[in-house]
Amino acid sequence: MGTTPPTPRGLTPVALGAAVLVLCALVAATFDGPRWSERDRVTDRSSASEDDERDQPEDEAAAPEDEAAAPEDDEPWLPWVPPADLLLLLPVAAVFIVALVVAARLRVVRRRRTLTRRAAVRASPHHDEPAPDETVEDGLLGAIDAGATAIGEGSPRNAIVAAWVRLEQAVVGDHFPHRPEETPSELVERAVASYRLDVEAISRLAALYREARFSAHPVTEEHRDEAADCLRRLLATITTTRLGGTRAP
Amino acid sequence: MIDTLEASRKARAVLDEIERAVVGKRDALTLVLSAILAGGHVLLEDFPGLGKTLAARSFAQTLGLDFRRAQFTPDLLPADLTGSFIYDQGQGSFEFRAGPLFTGLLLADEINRTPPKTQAALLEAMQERQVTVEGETFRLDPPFHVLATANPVEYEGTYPLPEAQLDRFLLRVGFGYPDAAEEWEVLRRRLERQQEEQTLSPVVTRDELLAIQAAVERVTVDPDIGRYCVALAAATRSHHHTLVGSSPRGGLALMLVARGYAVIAGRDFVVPEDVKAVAVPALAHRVTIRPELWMTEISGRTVVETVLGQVPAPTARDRV
Repeated sequence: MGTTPPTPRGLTPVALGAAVLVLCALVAATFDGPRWSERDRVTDRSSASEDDERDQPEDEAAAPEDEAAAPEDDEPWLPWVPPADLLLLLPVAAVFIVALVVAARLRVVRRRRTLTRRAAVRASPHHDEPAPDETVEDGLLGAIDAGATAIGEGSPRNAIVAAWVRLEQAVVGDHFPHRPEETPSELVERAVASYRLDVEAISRLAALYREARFSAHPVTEEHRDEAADCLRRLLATITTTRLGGTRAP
Repeated sequence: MIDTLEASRKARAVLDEIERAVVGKRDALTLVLSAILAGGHVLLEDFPGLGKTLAARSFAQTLGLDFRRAQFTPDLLPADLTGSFIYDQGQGSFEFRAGPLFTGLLLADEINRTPPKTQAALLEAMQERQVTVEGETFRLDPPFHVLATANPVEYEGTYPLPEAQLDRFLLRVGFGYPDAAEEWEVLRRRLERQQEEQTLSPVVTRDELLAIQAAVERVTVDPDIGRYCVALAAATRSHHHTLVGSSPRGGLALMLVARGYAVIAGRDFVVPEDVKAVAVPALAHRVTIRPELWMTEISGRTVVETVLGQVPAPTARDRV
């Protein structure tokens, strides 16, 4: 459809990581700064002292003390241990490498899933949704059962609409997201691909719902009976296929 | 007065008869008939040789309408369409000689080959359903429908219809190429017919067509469906690929054609599926894409398709 330029999504984490590393390096440099400044200051001071030696010989005693103290400050306390700023960088680098590995792994998994889904699309007409699990079908079973029980209550129009609402709410779940832009027919198509449902019964129920929801002509007891029959067939199909373990035609 | 079921039966019979001549284009033909039942005009835009003219003639024959064909050429004048006053020497007075606009179904062939002046004359007649010549107004009797054709690939020596004039067509429909089996069926039927001419039987009379159109007027449109049409038209205006979106006339066209579509399906009420089915041909030609996207695959169609995937459809929850 569109020709939106591709976004280099894969490069984003790398760029972020690199930015973090650069920031760490800058922070480390900031830690180093005062020491270098101190050393420079000491060096400056010592050279100034030399000048002073010439000008002010009475300070001779103090100057060698300073010169002796300056090299002592530069000596590392524990020479075999790396500097503290480098030690600080190590965990950050480790975290960055771990994050990179995790991102790459996720990308591979996501890519594999996409390819599998595409392959499934090519292989099967019922491609959109993964197979339902038992708990989701339990909810659907309960909703259809409740719909079949409550279909006798109220006016036929309201009863049919209410039964459809129950069904719609029951099918929507984690693996079957709610799509507000979807029409009843599209929902049926998706539900049939995802659940073990009697295609004819759910299609007819959708047609009855559309009639009850959008028409102005009377909705009669015959419509109610037909909807009740559809719900019973849906109930029977789910129960039978769960016992038999096969998908309804 | 006929009821919806009878109207539906006759509409389907019309489509069945047309399918004897036009092979494998049931969906496109259904859209065209929906627009005619809704009282509108249709722009058939597709490559040459895909049966646009044949379809137009077939509709005229099966709907029992007078049929005129006007070939739109660069030198066609408005008076060539509307007609003009001719001096009658015998009577010593001017008499009006009606042009091809005075018919039931006019095929405006290659409408984009004529200059805007003549296009405007036709489009004004389509909108007002009347023609004014030398200060005298002549009414175009219903049913009056225009099926215009345009070739989307040849731009040399053409005058593309501006958006304001495209807006006057209820639908813009493309037939598309047939598949191999359908194409062979076209050839096979020609061999079987043993002649070039394809003649179809009238399925309904002019009065019956008017009665079917009256049945369409009685179709129920739930307020939520109407709001859905408005939301779809409005969403084309705020789409980021759009320079100018659909006018409110687009939303109106959507609802009117959806009613015709519902009648053909045998219903006296419109459902969201009807609106979605007619949305692309009813809205795509009313959308102007941003100039920087002209050389891409983005078009009015893609905008409408995107919008259909975003605007919430009316649900049961709106009612319960």
